[in-house]
Amino acid sequence: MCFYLLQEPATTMNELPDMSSEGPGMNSRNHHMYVLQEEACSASNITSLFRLYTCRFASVGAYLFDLMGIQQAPGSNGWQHALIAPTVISHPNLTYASGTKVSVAGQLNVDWQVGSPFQCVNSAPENINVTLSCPGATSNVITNISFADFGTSSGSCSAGFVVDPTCSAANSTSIVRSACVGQHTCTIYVSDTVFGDPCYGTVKHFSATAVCAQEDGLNLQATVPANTRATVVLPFTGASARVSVTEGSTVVFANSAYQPGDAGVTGAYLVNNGTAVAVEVGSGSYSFVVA
Amino acid sequence: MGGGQGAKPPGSLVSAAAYIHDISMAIDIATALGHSDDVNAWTALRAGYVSGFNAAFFNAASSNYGNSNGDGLQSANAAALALGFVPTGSVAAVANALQNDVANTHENHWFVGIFGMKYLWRALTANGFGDTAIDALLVEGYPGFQFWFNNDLVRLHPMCMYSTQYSMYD
Repeated sequence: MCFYLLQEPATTMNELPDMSSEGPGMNSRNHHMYVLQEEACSASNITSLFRLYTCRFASVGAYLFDLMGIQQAPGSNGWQHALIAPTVISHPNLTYASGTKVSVAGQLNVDWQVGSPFQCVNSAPENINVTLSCPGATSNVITNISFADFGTSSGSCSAGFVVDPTCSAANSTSIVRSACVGQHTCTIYVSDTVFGDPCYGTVKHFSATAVCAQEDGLNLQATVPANTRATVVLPFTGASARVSVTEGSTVVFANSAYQPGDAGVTGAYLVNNGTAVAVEVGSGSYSFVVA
Repeated sequence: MGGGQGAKPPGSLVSAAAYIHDISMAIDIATALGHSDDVNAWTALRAGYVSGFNAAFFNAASSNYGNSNGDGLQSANAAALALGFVPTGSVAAVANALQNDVANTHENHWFVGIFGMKYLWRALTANGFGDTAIDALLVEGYPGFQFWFNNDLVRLHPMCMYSTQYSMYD
């Protein structure tokens, strides 16, 4: 147990959430079934809404830990075989989760995020080839260019872009859309020969965001301790024939079949009635993209 | 579970559920140890108790567990689902009844105490109602965790504590 009472002596867990209206009927100010093991203090959107209290609710915290997804595989002893199986729920307030399990075999980390897999180009210099592509199988095509600008826009992929009205090729987005929408990957030579010159004599750059077809994609990073292995269960929506799993830059599952070749990955197969891909891995750090 | 959170499920339901859950854990232990005779004997014992549990507490007409007043409906239905007591053909109906009680009857508020709190989230999520579980975790107003936090009900109160050791729930 984590002894938050000792670490933060002003805090405890009441038996009843409405204790002030319960009177003496509530005997306990120390209901540690609402407290949980320290390792189960995982982070997610929900955790931030629960603020720092989340880790103190055993039943709720254990559920949040389930959402994050680290378990010991059935039949395993001493955490020699971990089961990393996130529970991905379609809800606007649950788009990521991360957490750590300190097992007797070492520390496991999991960090997953849902959302549209997209590629974003922060700021590419002019007169080079820029490639936009979607992760995974070739069926995961670019469906839209949500932003493109050849000029002197400011901002970034994470913060969003702001066009500079004094230097912006007016047809930037339509040109990139023509080249890329419907393609798994596309290359554009970002120069004034393609976009025209919006501000002669000024050094320009190119920024763009491509949106991909599988918007319910899942990204999961996991660390598996030395001398152990793990089964990573990656849920997906849509047809199993279209799903692909990429680890790093290598496709490990596509066309409903395992694609050998990635270091550390020893197999991949459909599970849960064709709603998830299970990937068998050895120790190491992995970065999966499901699309 | 106090008066402020509605009536509790019948005490006999909670006790029976806990006992059957104990048998389930004993079966798991015997399985791990390779004691197949114990596994077989306790599996048969458990099946008998589950039948008795359903005969006593399951209302097939309403797909709810508990007494006819519906007391502690969320706790009773959630525990029956999470602990695997619900007859296979009724799982979806009980899950729907649970989801309806949370989402509609109580407008996304959980109405459970220390017993149902353990099972509510997993019972909803395992049966396709994870979004309702997340809604109920985050709902504002009473009863709810936001209420708990916003009213500062997590501070130490200068009252004597009769119970400081509820480890049976861990």
